[in-house]
Amino acid sequence: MIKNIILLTKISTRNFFQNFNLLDKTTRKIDKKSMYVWLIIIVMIAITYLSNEILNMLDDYGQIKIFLEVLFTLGIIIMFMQTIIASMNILYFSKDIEYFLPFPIKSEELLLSKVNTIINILYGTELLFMLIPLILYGISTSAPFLYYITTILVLILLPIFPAVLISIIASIIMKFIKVIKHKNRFQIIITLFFIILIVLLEILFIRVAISNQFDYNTIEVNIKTISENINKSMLVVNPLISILNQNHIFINLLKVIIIYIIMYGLLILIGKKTYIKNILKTTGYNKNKYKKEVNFETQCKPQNALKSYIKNDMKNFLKNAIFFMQTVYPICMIIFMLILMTVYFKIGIIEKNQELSDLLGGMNLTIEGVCIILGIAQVLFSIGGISISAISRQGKNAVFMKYIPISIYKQFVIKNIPQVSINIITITIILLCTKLIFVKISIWNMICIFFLCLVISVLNSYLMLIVDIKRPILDWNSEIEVLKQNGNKIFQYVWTIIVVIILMYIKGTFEDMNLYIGMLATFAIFGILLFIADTYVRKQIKKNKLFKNII
Amino acid sequence: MIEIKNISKSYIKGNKIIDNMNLEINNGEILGFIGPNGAGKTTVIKMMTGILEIDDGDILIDGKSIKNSPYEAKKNIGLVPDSPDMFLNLKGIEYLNFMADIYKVGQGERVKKIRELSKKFDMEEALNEKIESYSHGMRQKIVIIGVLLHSPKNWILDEPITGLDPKAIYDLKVMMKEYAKKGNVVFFSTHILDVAENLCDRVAIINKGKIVFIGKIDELRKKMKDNNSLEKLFMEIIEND
Repeated sequence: MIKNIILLTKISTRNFFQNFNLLDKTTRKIDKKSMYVWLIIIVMIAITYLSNEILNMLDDYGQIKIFLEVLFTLGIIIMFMQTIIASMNILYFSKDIEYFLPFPIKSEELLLSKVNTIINILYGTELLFMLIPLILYGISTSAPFLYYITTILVLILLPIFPAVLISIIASIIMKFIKVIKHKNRFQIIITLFFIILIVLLEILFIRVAISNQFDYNTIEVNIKTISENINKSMLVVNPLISILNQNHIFINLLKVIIIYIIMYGLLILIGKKTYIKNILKTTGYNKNKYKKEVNFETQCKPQNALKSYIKNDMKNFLKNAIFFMQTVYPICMIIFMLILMTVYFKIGIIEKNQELSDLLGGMNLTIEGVCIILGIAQVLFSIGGISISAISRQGKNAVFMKYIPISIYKQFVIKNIPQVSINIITITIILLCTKLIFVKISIWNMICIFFLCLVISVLNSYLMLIVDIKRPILDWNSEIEVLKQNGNKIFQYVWTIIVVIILMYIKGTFEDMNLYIGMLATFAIFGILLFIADTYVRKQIKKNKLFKNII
Repeated sequence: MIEIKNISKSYIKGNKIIDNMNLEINNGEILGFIGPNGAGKTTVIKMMTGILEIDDGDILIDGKSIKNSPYEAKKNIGLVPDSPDMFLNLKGIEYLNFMADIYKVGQGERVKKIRELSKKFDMEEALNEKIESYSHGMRQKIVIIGVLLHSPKNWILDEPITGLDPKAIYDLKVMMKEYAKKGNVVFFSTHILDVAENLCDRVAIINKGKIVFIGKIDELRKKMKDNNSLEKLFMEIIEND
């Protein structure tokens, strides 16, 4: 049984990570020439810098222990979100399941191998985002050698919780469903259900933790309480943090192991009886007869070719559950949280504190403020990844772009529209939230910031589309590979870091000058970068090089 | 008319996949493009349709260079690719409308063509369903209908028979003959020699990136001085090459 599980896990995991090319194919060692290796190093440097800054700040306030709480809260939430989005696709809808079904494999073997695949994906996330902060925490607190041993143990154990829990819930839900007629709608509904559940729990914990009376001294206490509340609900998180703190290591380890034995037992019990039966519900549906007749007069109305092209592009990610969840969901969730937090901050805190209300209401807009807004906007643009997957999402269909009679440049420009449209909504929300808190900002200034954000948004979309065109993932097994396992996303992270550095430079240089000179300079810098990107695209198209890798 | 003029292609420097190939396909002609796996059939089709860059030489589609005037050339092409798994999230009718929009087919013409072709391929009742629910053969049919909506003067098909049921194969063959009769070019690649033998005006046999024979089946038989089937003749040519 274990042999089969390992074999299946290896195949499934390899399928997922095939697009990264971190290892040299012949020597199997890390390929120093691989761009991904270097991009991962850059992201890790940024995480190191950020973690170091936060640790120093917390150390100054004597609150360094909050770091572990908050890191694990963020880590577990990210892992839950990642599992929710990936689990249904990996467990029930990935293409390789159909290849495995004819093999003499037991139901629970296949299920466990799929859960292992999810865990392996989460290990990737952990390595990139949690390992360095934990090492830095150890250094900052002069932790003993045992701390580093327990760190490895904790990192191995942590992702098992979200992966197994979500798989159990998914299996139970699937048991009560007779047949799945609309795979995409089904996945969207199930994922929405999971996400709403998680968000509601988070809101509940935040409400419990934040007191109505605003007090600067209680901020740390509030953050700690929120983290503690969330971590408590995740059963294994607090014991794992205790292990890191060398607090009753064996008892806490035993707690975690017992929880996992129960969870795995439940998973195997449910999986044994239902997993393959559940899979067959997703593959066995076939209509014997198509009934709906076409109304040619209403359904066959001509449209402008470009409009039709955009519409088709939009349908590509709006009608596919996984693409929709990975491109539109995350940004919707963040916008929703942003609105919620702003309204809560405004009504629950500012309006109850006259001093704070006067302070924020009387603030003038500075170039520093503009740069912070632009930085937040850039971070939000990097979530979702509509442009960075615009070509890859098409899979083998992408070649269609090359033989239709629409100019390649026009197609390139059009492909930016979905991402930029969503970004415009994001910008508008950011500005409205800003206006709600800093009431003194004039409409004229908001319009200026809007256009600055727009240029940065178009530039971001342009660059990410170029990355996807140059390094597309066209041959994929499951839609998850296109976004979650897409190594190109590292380019997005690196670009965001670069934009933040540019903004920091602008803030430093134009701090003492007139606000409008600063804004004009910002517009010029990003405008020139956009012009260079556009010229590059035109030249590459002229030389027939831009779409060279789409064949 | 399609004119392939001295084209060459290599993926790795010094290793030519297509080596100085020349071929002319006249209006009103059905030409079968035959060759073993890896001979270069799909590479040629990809260069003809602008999917792959041509290293040397040129391809003219009705006198328009695919290299220099790709937009004009592509307007006269209808390609049925080797994989029919296209736009699976769209309904059949949505896909057909999309194709008609891209190739600027007016409402009257599109309604007439969709009605006519979907009836011919027995697809009328499936048009309101998503393509992902179609069988392989149905997907192939919907792609063929989509390609024919704008009545391309040059119909290029990459392995079109694969996955079709006998009736659909028969219908497709009839349609290809009718299409060529109207003065259009029909160019298709196939592994199924039987189809080529019954359908083509001429066949071009490609091996290792070079055309090793071009002409009518009778000419091929004369050349080999035998009254063999196309299958035997094909094997002889490939083995002699």
